[in-house]
Amino acid sequence: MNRRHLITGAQGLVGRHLAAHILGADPAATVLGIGRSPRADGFFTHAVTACGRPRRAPVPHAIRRWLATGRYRYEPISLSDADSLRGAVAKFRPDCVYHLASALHAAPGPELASTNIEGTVSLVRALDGAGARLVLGSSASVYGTPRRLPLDEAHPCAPVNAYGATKLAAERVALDRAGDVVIARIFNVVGPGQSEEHVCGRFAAQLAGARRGAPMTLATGPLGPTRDFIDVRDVAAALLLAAERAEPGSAFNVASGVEISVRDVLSAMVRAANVEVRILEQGEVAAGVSRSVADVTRLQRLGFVRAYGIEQSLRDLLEWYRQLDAPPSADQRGV
Amino acid sequence: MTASLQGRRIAVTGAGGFLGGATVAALSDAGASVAALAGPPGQAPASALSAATISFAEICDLDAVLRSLDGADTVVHLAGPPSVAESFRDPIGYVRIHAEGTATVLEACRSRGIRQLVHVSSAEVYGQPLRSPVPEDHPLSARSPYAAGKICAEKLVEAYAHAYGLRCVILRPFSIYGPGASPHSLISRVLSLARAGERIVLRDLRPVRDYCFVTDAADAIARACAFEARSLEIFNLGTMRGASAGEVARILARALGVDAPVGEAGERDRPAASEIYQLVADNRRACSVLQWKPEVTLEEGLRIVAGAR
Repeated sequence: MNRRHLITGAQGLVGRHLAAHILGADPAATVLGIGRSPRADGFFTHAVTACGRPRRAPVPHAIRRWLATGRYRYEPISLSDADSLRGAVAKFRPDCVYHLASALHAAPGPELASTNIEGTVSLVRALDGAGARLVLGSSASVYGTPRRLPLDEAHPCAPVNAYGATKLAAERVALDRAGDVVIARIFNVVGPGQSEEHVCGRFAAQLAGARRGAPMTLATGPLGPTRDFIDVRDVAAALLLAAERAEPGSAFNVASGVEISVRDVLSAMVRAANVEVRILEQGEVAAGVSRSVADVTRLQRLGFVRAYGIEQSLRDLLEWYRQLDAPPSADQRGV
Repeated sequence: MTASLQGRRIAVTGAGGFLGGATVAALSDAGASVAALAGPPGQAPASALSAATISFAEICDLDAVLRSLDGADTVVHLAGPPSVAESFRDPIGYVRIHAEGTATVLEACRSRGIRQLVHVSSAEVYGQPLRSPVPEDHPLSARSPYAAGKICAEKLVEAYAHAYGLRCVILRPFSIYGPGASPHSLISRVLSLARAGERIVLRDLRPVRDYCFVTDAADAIARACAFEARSLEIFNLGTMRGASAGEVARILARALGVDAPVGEAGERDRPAASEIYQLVADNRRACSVLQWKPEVTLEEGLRIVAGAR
């Protein structure tokens, strides 16, 4: 069993949930988180704009509890700082490295290239000779427009945007490495802590501000496309399973295997919010992928069982946004 | 928290914009029923907007503006493109939207019997102030087509206040920043360079601005709606603290965990003679009369920006 886990992008949404999951699942595990941002256990690296009020996104209490144990450490190291990275790896001697540091979908090209490709190159170099397994956090976007559904891991990779292209390049960089690599192609993540960069976070932020009894109009982009959503807590569980059980050199989808339209997601969240909302759908159907759903056979063969359905994820996400307006608890104040 | 706007019906123009979205939220939070008017679909992203009603129209389209004001008692006028640099490339367009757009909104307010107009102007109307921090009674001076358009709009508001007794509040925000600000702003430029791991090179490290976080500005707008203006009242929205471009870049780099030197090079995006080197608000009037207080410090605000897109 792996005991020493290194996570890059540790202060992001998936990184935080993964650290907490590992520390909770194995009382003997230690985790070293690294990231570019200064350590801040109370907050994610992203900000949210709940009800038009931008603020730093607080880390849910259930996670902060685990990060407070002595078995979690964090060091602010940029992936571009090769010496510090190599030093940290030599000192910590990880059994497994989860590479989750990534620039997001909407980031400009230079940032996508430097973070997603050069960052992976630098990490792979630093791991040279370390003997650790590398679990690479990749994305469904490497597949591009589906030629068949559900998307299985053998589906051709032909990304249709810069983000997908850089994630695919990172996969190739990782697979070229001498050591043991597993590729995790993560589909649409949902869950508490998520920013409005993602569609579910955006809906939650808007609906959290609605008051019961006061009618509201919510403006949104096209609702027709379908996606495969998976709870961030299930993503964490899947990544740990992959680290422990996946075949070296394999790729597998991290997804629910359930296809749902953005319209149905919004309806479910409006029901959960229990408010009266008029939906104003605007804009052309985007040139993006119109349908997406994963084949999760490989993930299930590892023994993965989903713990959170979409309704539960949406409820928890909405609740997280609603609590942003509650006064901060003592451990959330300050930096 | 702001004053109560319970029972009030407020129309907001420019609701699809950066400050517009935060304003709609602040007014709704204070209990108002908000009618949001955004630019024509496709021009401004309104996909994260939620209000009692949302409509889309050109601000110079009187019929459309009249419709959006149906049932409103108060109007917050924010519509208009925000870039000083861009206004040198499209002076005619800027003046049209800021001057003609404001005249259209004023005409609509007059014929709908609106109780109060909150007109959001800009600190650019001071030009290069002779005093710092600059108070509201400082002479106006335009250094860009943007500033000229804003001065023209203020004068139109003044005319309607005097001629028709329309109660008006003019707000002059200084540098409003926060997540979602224009990609051409100083802060957005620093962010994209730092995130791409590049050296932070700016055109000029010297200009000092007064940075006011977007939620604080939106809170001031809500307070201005609740305030009973006598005839015409003018307030600066700023923090009374100036920070140079170089200083902002360094604070932001620290928040991002980037150890990048900050340098100066490249072409200016506005004529050299139009540069304003010091623009800091005397905010005492807003603080005492509107009982407003900016809550978010520059360090905290930039930490929030560092985490957002």
